[in-house]
Amino acid sequence: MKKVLIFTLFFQGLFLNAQVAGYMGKRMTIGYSNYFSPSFYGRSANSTVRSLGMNTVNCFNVEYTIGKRTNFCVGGQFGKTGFVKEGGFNYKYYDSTYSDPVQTDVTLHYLPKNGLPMQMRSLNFSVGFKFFRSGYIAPVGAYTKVELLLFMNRVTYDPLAFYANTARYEEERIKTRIGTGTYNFKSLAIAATFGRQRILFDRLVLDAGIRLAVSPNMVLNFISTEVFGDGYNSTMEEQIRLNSNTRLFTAQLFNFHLGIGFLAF
Amino acid sequence: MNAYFVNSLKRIFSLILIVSLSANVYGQSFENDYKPLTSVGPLPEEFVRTAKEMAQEDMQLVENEENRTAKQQFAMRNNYFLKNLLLGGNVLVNDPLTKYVNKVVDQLLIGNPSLRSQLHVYVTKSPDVNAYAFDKGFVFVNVGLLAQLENEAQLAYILAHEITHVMKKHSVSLYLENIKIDNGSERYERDERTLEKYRFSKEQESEADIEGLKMIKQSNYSVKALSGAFDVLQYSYLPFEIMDFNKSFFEDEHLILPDTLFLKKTSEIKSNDDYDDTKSTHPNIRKRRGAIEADLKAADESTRKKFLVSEEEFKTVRETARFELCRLYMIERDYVNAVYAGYILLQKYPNNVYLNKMVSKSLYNIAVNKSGKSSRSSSSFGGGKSRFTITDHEKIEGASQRLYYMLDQMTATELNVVALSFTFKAARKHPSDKTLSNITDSLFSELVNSNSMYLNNFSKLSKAEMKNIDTMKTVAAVEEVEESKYSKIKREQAKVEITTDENFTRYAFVGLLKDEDFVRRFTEASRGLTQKAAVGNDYVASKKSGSSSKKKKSESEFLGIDKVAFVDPFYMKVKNKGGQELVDFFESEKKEGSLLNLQNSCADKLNLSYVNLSTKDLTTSDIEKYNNNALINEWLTERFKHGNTNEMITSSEDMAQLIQKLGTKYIAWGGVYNNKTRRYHNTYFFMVFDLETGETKRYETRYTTEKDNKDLITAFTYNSLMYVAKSPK
Repeated sequence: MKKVLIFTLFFQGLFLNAQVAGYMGKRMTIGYSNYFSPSFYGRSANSTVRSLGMNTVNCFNVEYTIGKRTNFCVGGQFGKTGFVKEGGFNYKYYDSTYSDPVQTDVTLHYLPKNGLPMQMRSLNFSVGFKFFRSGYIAPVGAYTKVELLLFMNRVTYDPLAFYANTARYEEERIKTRIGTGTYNFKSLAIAATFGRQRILFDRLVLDAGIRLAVSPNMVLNFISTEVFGDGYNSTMEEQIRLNSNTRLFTAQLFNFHLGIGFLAF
Repeated sequence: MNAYFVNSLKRIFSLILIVSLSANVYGQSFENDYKPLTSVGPLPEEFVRTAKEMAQEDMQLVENEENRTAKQQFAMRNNYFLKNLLLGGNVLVNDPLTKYVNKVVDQLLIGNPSLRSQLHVYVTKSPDVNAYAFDKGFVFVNVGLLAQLENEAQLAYILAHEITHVMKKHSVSLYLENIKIDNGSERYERDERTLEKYRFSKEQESEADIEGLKMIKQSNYSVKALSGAFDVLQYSYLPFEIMDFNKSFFEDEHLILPDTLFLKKTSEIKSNDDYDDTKSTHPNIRKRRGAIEADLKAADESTRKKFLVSEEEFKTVRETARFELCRLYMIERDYVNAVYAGYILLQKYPNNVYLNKMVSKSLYNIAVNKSGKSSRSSSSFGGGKSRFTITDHEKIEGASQRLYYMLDQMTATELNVVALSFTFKAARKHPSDKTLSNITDSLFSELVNSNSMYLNNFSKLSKAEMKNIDTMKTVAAVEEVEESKYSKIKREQAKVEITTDENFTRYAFVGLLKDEDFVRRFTEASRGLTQKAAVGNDYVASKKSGSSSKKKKSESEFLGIDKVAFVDPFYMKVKNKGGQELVDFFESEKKEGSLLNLQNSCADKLNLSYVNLSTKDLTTSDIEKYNNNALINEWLTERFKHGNTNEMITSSEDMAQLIQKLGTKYIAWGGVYNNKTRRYHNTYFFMVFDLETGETKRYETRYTTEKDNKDLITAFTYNSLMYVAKSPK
């Protein structure tokens, strides 16, 4: 309840000083944007084969002009992709075929029968501000947008599709179920967008720009696990989280966007 | 008998009515007042056509000619500037001056009616001693020139000179020649190019002098009188009359200005007619005079006259021009010349209230600038020089030098005292004039607030009376055993004041302090009851609270105005082609109209009432609209020159009526300058003024590196007007 109250008061505070022009008195924009960037490294959701492709994220956003040069923005984004860990996953394998089970470190490769990589769906929420450059009046003109993104990722895979790196034959396939097959992860990112917005026919909003997004916790995790940590000690969940985050990081790091919207009121 | 008597009376009354009406139409008596020049009658066709229409007509004429592109570019440029001049408000239509000048042209071209029919001659409200022409047949004569002329023949010769420019199409030839010189990079060095342009221009001027003389010879105007026309040009930098400035102009029995404020000798007039004209568009006067001298001497004057229209009308026109010149000097912020012109004319018309006002306003504005403490405290405004300074007297020649020296030497307090004394006495002479009364109050306020002078700083007793008292006190002091330390100090100070001319201000109001009204108003000003008064109305500006809090500042940006008058917007689009900046005249004119429409639609959205003071949709019967616009433009020109100083605006006096007509005292002016070089440079500006006080209510500029797209300008305009319409929360 306390959080709700603080949240309400904060946003109420933003809109209190609402004696701003907007565009001909209209301050609310509802729009759709498509964020896209060339994918040089990752796979798509449908293929494990690495090829040059395009990451795309669909975004629905609502903006409200709260200052002479400031828009308050909230958005929801949806993206879908696949990822493959090229070097395989590190796994402590307990071989129970022996009377005295032996624990060995193995590298597991994900090779599902349907040939699809691990699936990652990402639902993101963003809150931010568009600061229009000096001389302009929001919502028209060149701007810098600063936003906070909450990534909510769901990774799904076939838990029975792992092979050990030593496996030479089908019968050597590890029969053990690896992980749960579904993991939900959350991570935060901060993004800066440099864009330009125009209004046609006094109603239609066109938006274009470049966005740079960095996820600080992903960077820290990567450094602690991959650079300084012992990969074999990581749980499968951690490894998948790290890899999904890496995939997301590469997809979000640099994006173009094109958007269209309308001035609601 | 009765019927005969009634009919006779009717006839007499009709005659009186006709005579009085014609006196109003054709002239005005200068004895008591002067009404500034305005346009009358229907507007000529050229005022209601767009520059694009006029240019397209000209462009078609040169369709098959050599240098077609350049000539068409010239046609666009020429018509755009002509249109701006015609609608700028400085051009007079059907007024006595323009009518007279046209009569002179009629006489000049009596034998060439076809040429006469192609000419459009107007008088322009400018103090510059000049006349100029456009190739399309437009000739403009400045009020400043009419004020200096000696006779009609001189005017005829100057007109003949300008008509030659029209006939020979000198403007377009000069334009084409300049392009040729600019493009001929191999032939000319940079400096040579400029000199070559000047040389070509001088050739044209010489040709106009010679052809103009031929035109005069074909008319019945005196040829010998033309020599004087060059005197007019040579001494054009001097006032229209040479008259010794007498300090008694400001003095009375008690206000005695010390001799130290007056130059014993003024510098002689040493104008050189053989100056270096290498970097001048015109040949020097000696060369011009020399080129026609032989013809002047040889001319047969037997049938020729200096005046063909009317000597009397010429003199009335010249006198009108001189009266008008006082205002124009004020508008140009040339206050010392305004005082001097007022001084000259007041010798002839001592009861003229207009002249008294001109002198009072000028003195007030100089005093305000001298004290340096008064400045407009609202939105800072960047236009114009911030402070007026008097030209160094050493640069001035002739009798007016004395006035320059005196006003320059006086301190702010001294000038304030002199201005107050002059204005109060003028106001007493013209008690029904509100402006003089308001200036008096403003000078009281200035004296107290800016110069910290109160009643006790002025002696009620004259120097002679003080001397008597001093003698008596000296005797008493000898007899008395003890005299207080403080009375001794005061007695010593008074001794110094009595024996020297220093601190003349102490005794300046001895006479005026006997006037109850003077003392009452001074007391009110000292108590802070009188603030600076606006000219020409009862408005008393309230003192601005100097709040520094950010919130208060942003709130104060909202003006909560109900109605504004939109002045013709400014729009200029410039393109860069081959390193040359070219104005897109057609687009600029079109966008001016669009911007006004945009302002209107934004005002509608904001429920802001408005009235357009636009000249875009003028019809020939819109003379009132034209005059209103002219008045506003004049007001704005003067206001811009004042910058942030608290000077009085000359034309504010005429604003009360206009404010009533418009239903608002606020005018809004906006514009866009868009220049495309490697990138776009877009400057948008918007300002709102209070016509009563001259206060800048809003001043806003926005610079973006963006094309002037409609959405961008819409956002700016709506935002600007929102601050006008909305009240602070």
